[in-house]
Amino acid sequence: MEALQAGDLTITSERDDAALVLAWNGKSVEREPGKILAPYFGEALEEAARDKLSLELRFAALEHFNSSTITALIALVQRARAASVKLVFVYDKALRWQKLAFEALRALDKKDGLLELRSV
Amino acid sequence: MRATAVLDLDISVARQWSNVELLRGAVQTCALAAEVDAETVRRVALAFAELCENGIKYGSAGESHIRVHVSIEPAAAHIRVESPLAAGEGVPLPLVRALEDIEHAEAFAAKVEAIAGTDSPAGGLGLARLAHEGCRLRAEVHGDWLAVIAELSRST
Repeated sequence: MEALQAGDLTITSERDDAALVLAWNGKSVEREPGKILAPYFGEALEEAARDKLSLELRFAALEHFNSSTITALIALVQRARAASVKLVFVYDKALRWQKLAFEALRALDKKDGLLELRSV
Repeated sequence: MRATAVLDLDISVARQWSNVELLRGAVQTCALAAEVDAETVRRVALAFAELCENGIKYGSAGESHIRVHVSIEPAAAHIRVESPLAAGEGVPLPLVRALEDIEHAEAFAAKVEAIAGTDSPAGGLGLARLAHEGCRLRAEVHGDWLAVIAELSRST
């Protein structure tokens, strides 16, 4: 996959045998980040489903995201579950804003093995 | 008597989305220069940005600016964002409900679940996030201006 560059946000992709990895850098502060992220996520989900990979999003290097970005991530969780693609969010628990945000996203864990929130 | 502020900013800004991030950075810079601790700076900047975003999104479309105020005192911080209202209008009902919804401890996770479960609009998620960060939130009407206020203790 190509990298995504949108305003202050950069998402780069790489893959290994088990996962398609999207690494977030910078800040996600667009008014409607879903408009930019949803097509990109769609492409990633398609690739992950086709190649039987999990989709791993790494946030540890991200400086900040707004609550509209959280909404875009909620939508991604729903789409990944519908596509039976395992989704992994990796965050830095030492960054309090990440810890608080991603702990709230644990509410979306249906114990079906399709969502994992992992801290580093 | 109110404590002496270590930082006091009062600004009127154009209702342009790009101003949110510019000002969030400016608030961070000013607070760090005033030797405010990093965790308070982070929480103040987050509250400031979320309230500004709401002010720009939901304020009266006919007006061109919002007013923002940030005060950091030794024990607490106050962030107030004022957006214009139509004459005679009170606190908008969706905001009243959003403020009621965040009064319990798990409000942020509950809001996340609600958005996922219903495809409902995500309004109120930012306020729930701030409450989860320990901010106390309220709304007031002053003349033709709606003020949304976040207060946070610097000890938590």
